[in-house]
Amino acid sequence: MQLSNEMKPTKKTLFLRKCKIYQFYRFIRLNSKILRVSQFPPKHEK
Amino acid sequence: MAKVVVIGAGFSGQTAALYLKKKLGAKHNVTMISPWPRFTYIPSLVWVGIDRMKPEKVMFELAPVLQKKGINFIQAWARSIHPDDQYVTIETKDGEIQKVDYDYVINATGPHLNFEGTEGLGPDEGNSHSICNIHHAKLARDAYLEQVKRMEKGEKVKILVGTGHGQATCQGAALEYITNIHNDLVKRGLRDRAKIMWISNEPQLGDLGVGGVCASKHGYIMKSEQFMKSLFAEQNIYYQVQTAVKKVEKGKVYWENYDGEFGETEFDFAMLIPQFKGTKIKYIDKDGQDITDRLTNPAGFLKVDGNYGKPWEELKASDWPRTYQSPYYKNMFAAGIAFAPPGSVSKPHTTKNGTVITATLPRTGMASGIIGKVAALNIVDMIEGREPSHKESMAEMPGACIASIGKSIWNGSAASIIMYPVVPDYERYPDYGRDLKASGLEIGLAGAWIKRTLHTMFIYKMKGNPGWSFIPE
Repeated sequence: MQLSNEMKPTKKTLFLRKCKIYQFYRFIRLNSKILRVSQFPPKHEK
Repeated sequence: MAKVVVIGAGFSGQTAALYLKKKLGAKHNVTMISPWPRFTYIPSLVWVGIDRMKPEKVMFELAPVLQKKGINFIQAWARSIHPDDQYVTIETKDGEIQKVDYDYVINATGPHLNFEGTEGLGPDEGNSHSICNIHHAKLARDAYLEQVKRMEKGEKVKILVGTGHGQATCQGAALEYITNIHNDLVKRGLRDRAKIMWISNEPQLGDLGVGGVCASKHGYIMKSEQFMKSLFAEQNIYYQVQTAVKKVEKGKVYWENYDGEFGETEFDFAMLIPQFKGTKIKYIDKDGQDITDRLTNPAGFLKVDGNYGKPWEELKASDWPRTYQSPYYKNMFAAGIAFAPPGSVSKPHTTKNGTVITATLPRTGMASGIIGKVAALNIVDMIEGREPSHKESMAEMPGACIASIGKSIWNGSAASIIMYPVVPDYERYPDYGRDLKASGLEIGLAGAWIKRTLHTMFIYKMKGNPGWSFIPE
């Protein structure tokens, strides 16, 4: 069993993850991303 | 009047039945067969398993919903499918054997939880737990709460979560469970009394059975391996990957790793996902011969229009099924977990002792719903005299895994993992197999809101409430 010590989040990241205003913005962005990818998936490219 | 039978009432079965009835109306007959009287929203069982959600919140009775929609519901086990004579043999809860005729059939039975594939695995043996169905989730919850009581008395406990077989899938569900346990113990002020450990068959952390996910982040390409290492570092979770659990005893798992080394890990509470196999439905031809082996792959999943038999290195995106129609019987389809994938996405591995350690592709949730819809619409095409025109390969399908890290909509969190396509296509995307613009890896409260929204929206959709078809799968 290993215990990683890599890339622990900084205080700023932890704050942003809980910040309601920023997270509301991320909620809109993530939802639109999920909807965009599911409804209008990237077109086939050669 | 065409008779369509849907076997199974999970995500794919329920989606298929709703679309069939919506498109076919009263002119044709749609019947659903399921041994369970209720629909269960499986993704929320992680919360039931730690007593953060009541079991009744993740279920609803199928009969009134289906009756309102004009779909016949038979509560019974499907025992055999007779594709030449076009009927399904069912066994009711009274043990009565009946025949149900069909013109078209969808096998959407979900998995057989193959606990017997690992000695001592599963709640029936009493050595480990599972959150794969509501009964198991309730047992896991009770066992987990016993450990919580021990910790409240000041005892230290070891909690082990992950996969219980070398070829298990659904690492995402186990990941949600382990991070929810961490979060629950933090809230209870008991986190320092638990050693939480992750054990899995993934080739590397964050593989999740999809070969890992890459996403563009802060100007770099981040792999889900780094993402998961960061999460486990933050939550102080020990991990061991490339491992097949071989045997579970009370308080101890015996495992074998990639190098063929054997070892053991002690635990006080273990939740280990079993291998998924096809449900034990027999396929019988007109002469009474069992043709299950011809129609299904070795794991018992129904073969559809995929390209089977290729070695992993040669598998391409174009080999993945698109219509989910059986090549042997054109009126037979498979949806959700029940269809046979042409291979794994994660790199397969066999140890020097011959043990296969390969994380298999999850086909649950979003993929299940999409495939259920595709199978239903293809049957509608055939009933209306057309060739199946609806195609959605998993190599063209988006995937979104919102892995809860805490249920609360005030201070909860979730890891949002978005990918396109689910099965990497190295011809279209030579570098990473996926479109990095469409992929995402992120942790935060927004994910907890999405997870909670999905719970409400999908239960609304699965009940066939007004506007259900506008909610994407």
